[in-house]
Amino acid sequence: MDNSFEGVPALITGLANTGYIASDGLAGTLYLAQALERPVLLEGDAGVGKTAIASAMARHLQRELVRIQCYEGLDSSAALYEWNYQRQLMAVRLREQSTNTPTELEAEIFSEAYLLKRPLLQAISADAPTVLLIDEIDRADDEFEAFLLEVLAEFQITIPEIGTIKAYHKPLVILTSNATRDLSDALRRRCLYHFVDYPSHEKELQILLKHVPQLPQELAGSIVSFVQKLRQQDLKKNPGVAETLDWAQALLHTKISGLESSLPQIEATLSCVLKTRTDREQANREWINMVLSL
Amino acid sequence: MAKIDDYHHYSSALLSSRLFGFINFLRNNGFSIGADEIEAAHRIITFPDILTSKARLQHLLKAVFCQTRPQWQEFPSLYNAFWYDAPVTDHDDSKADAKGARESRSSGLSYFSESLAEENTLVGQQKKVDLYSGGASDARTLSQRDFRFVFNPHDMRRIERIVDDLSRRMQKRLRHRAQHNRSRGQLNLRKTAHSSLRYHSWPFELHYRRKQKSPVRFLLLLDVSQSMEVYSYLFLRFARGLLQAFKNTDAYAFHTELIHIGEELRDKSTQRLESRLKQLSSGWLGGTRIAASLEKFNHEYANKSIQKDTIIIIFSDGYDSGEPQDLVRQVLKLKSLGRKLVWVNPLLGRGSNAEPLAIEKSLFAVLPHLDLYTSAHSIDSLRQLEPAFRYR
Repeated sequence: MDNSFEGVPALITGLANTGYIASDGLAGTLYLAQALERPVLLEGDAGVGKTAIASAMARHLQRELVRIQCYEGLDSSAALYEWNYQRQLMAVRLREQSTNTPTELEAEIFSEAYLLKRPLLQAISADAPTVLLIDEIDRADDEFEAFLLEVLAEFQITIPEIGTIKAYHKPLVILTSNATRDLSDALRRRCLYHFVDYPSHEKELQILLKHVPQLPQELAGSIVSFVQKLRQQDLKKNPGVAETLDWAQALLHTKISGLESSLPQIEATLSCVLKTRTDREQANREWINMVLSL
Repeated sequence: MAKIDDYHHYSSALLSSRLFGFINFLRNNGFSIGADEIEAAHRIITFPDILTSKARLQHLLKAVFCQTRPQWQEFPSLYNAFWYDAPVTDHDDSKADAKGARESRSSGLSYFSESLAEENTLVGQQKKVDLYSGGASDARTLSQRDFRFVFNPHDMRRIERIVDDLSRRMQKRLRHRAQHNRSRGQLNLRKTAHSSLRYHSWPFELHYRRKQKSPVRFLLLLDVSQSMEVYSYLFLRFARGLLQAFKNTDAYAFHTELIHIGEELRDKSTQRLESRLKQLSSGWLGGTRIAASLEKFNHEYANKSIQKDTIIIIFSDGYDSGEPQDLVRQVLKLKSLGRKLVWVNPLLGRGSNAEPLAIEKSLFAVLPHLDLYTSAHSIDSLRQLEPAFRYR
């Protein structure tokens, strides 16, 4: 286990120093991931801070953050490695007149110098332990998920021309999912699980004041209350923490002192938190007043 | 059962043996726990100072034993039930689902008629569970039971969860088949040769043929008339799962009118879905005019909703107040537009070999023109619908 890791309370403090306010449960899961060397699967709505956890952990542990952004069609060559084909061809041409035997030439062009390391290989072959973020795994295809199972089980990669590369230091692996599709049971079973929910009023206020310290305490409280009430509404897309921070910044520029007396400013800046046409259309003054009065 | 008041008084050995009991308890409640999880849990209880915080131990065990959001929500209740002898409560989602189901009944979307009285006595109560007995045989019979014989609200919620999950599982299998062996594709020699010209015929840039994915397209036509009351609610749920799992899917409901419900079913919020369907549902659970509804569909919506590779699935018992030849005409038109026409009749499961079910005259006339005629009256029969979802 990493020497810089001293239990859950220390992790909470460490993450807070990087600007991430973690709950006891989340810090516990991350602690466990390190102790047991198992990947963590973070599931939750978009905007609750899943990706931010990985970068906060990387900063706290002073490790490099290696990130794979998943998408439909992502394959092993984009995630693992590729041969630098153009460079190999160039080398073949340049050595046409040389005295190298074909076997020597082949050994040269299929060496590590001609290998383009993609994030998974980077994380595994790194000299120091890293934090590997596999973001939005639910967007990737089933085959990539199956391929990931092999890598996460052994933390080693076999390249036919070179051999097996085994991780000297197992990376801390964090997978995130917005639950747009069901992940396989096999992947779930290899991971520790944590559902990241929207933060409580108290926690969101802490986050807001940490990120926008110039915000008056009272206004910050009103902003958080309003956003929390918005999440109780029948919205198509609930505002996440990032939206709260954006909105607070926007309101700060309007120089308002409180929400109750600033309907025009709220109306003008509400697009920071309401991100779909349907939600925006219903947010007229009466609706805003109704939410404020809840 | 012994109640744990303070972990301080527990020796590691005793806690370890109780942990096995807890694992067994979780397994009986649907958690899938293997050797890795057991090992991890036993390592947790050896962490220094872990026993000083009850909440922390719960958090850590939760991270190890839970794999899905429903389990995540259910865990605290089960944990307290086992370690503190507290009654198990349904988590919020189940309550919301049950509430939604009750409300939808009053709007004509559900069929909690038989179970409503029982449900009312259950709501607000906390239920006790048997900590050690399994539920395999119960689950087996439940999956075979005709939906019209599910009277217990708890069973109904279990069925709803299975139905919700069913389409996701089908999606997985179908996608796997569609994309199996999907690699980079073959080398595109023509394009590669062309781009090699600028490198003195050296093929520096390789081009590959992209393999075309063949997305599965569905069109669902759901009968929500009086005669389908028992089944339409679950079919709507199943349809919702399909719409959310398969992008190219659209759905219409019909009784004496035809209503487009694709947008509504695509909504992930059950609450919002209920309220939208309520707005649309005037006249539901009335009579049926299948032929007229299909005619309206063919005339107004078919061009938009059907492509040549669309699989059209009609969920209906076939009771039609119109003439059989009208229905045949519309069905033939529908069939000519799509790839495959499937008729799912929940009443089909009621018949037996000895006494086959008498089929409605209209449906009888349509049968020769269908690609597949099947039943869907229970979870098992819904699971067997998979052939209907294949192109061939």
